[in-house]
Amino acid sequence: MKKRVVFTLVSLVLALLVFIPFSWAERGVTDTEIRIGQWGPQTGPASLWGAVARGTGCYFDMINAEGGIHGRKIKYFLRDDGYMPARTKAIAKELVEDKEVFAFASGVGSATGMAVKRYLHKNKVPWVGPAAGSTHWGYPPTKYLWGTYPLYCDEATILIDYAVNTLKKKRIAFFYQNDDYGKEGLYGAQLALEKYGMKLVAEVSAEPLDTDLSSHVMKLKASNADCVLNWVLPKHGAIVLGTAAKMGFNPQWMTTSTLSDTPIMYKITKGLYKDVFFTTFAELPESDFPLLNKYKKAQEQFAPKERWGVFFYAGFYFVEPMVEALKRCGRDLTVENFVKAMDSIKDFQGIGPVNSFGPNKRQGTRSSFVGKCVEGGKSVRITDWMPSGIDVNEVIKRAYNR
Amino acid sequence: MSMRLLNGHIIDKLNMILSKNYLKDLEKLAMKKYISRKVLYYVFSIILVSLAFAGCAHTEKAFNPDITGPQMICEPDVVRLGVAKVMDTQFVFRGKGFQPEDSVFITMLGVKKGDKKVDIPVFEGEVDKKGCFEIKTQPGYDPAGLTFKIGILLRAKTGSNEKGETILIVSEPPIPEEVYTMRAVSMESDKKAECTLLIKGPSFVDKMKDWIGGLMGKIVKE
Repeated sequence: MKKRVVFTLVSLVLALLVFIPFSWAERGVTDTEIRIGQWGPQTGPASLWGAVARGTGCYFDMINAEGGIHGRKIKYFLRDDGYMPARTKAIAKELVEDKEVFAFASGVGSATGMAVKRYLHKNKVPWVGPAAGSTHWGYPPTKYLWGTYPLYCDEATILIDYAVNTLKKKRIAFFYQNDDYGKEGLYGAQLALEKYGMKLVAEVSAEPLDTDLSSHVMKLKASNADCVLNWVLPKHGAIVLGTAAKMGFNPQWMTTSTLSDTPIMYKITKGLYKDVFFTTFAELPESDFPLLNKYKKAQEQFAPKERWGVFFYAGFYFVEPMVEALKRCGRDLTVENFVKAMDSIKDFQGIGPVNSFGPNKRQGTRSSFVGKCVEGGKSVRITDWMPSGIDVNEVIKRAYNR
Repeated sequence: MSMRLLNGHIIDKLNMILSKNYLKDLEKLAMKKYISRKVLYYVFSIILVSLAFAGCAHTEKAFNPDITGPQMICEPDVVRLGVAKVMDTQFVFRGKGFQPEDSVFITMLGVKKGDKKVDIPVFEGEVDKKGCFEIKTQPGYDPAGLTFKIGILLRAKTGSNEKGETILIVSEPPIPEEVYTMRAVSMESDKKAECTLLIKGPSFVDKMKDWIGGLMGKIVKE
């Protein structure tokens, strides 16, 4: 009897010894690899923005070719969600529970990101650089999420400042998509104008499925606006310019970063995009910024079939701080250490604006710069990085009543 | 279903048709295409009679009280693949027995795509404090149901006509007719529930509606 008890106890101890090392191991981290996932639309109406996820893959290829991070290579899982929140949910669950990723990088879309935000938080999965300028990521701050995309409300503020102070525009209108993306831009513009004692002369919204924008343009034209800010899908950005030109309405057009891929916009508007001002989140494609040149060489080496465009290298920019934090963790890579490393990042300079984080500061930047589309679809930089001074909480209050 | 309710149902549906200016468009079309008022009368009579029967067939589904775990029901659980029929259908997925304040996604299993069968996540939603969820699409072009109706069931595309109105472009056969399993998967627990959705070919009335839609330029077959 005694022998049997001893045998059982010894077996239990041995079994525990076998399993304990596994339970201590961090999810998605082995001696030789770090698993990172991303969703992004590779098909469907938003596939133009899917270049972000492929750009991140190219960035990780470059990091791996340089030897990886403290002896570990990044194993990257890219999944196509078609810009559909239901698919994003399925992808997040698969990558966390089956592939056991350590963290998520970027991920295009506000609605898609919102569909999995709570799930990732509950599972303590770090998520860096969602590819949308939404206030949902950093306000209020949550432990495992860091935003690097300038806020849409900040971009609107910066454009308004430029329109009023430099271009001396007096009658500014706002054309926006009737969702969080459009509304955050709208309320940013309203707040920025209030600072100058001005108001928008027209606020016109479009639904994503609208194909005829004649009535929208008529409203904008009737407002006698001398400047219109566009916060819409690229296809609407193109249709509104074409319709306005046909109606003889030629204000100064300005757009958000989501329409800042000027070679494409110039092409689909058949040249009407010339002289459009935009805000953006990273150096321009033609820039001689040294780090951007290094990334361009990586694109030529690891993704030669990709077009060198702003959305492709946005996939580098959005997750630069993630790689920095992985480096700061050394070999002791755990979720808790990664959180501390991310929060230790201050004044980090990559190819975009400077980013700083902290436990109560999860929106890394509030800056953007103004660029302009010129002949042939190329773009030129007009201003330096400009900070936005508006009260984000007031935007949130107006947009979501919270 | 009582006659009073049935009449109410027919009147509602007739109002819906009238509100969509179908009559106006049809009249214009009749003038244009030299279709007599008599033909229009017959077409409308057939549509009204079938709508009346459709109304009779409808009974709201209820959860099985004997099941204590998670379960899901789908309304309607039979869909005919007429283009107008699918577009006007309001799909409702209701679930209960899930973890309170969880979230779910619904996957359509075994959808034939080329040579293989794939599982496609189609809807997502939030679970309330009682462990229940309800995911609804609206009739017509509502964003929540658009991908499911147009992309997955009809395998069509949207476009616009010369008036700038949204039209449907049908260039390939719709989803194969069969019984599909719809599976609700919990995000934060291992709870799952399934129900079935029977996809059938279009009825005579559905074909008529699509024919009219084609004449009106709202449905384009390529």
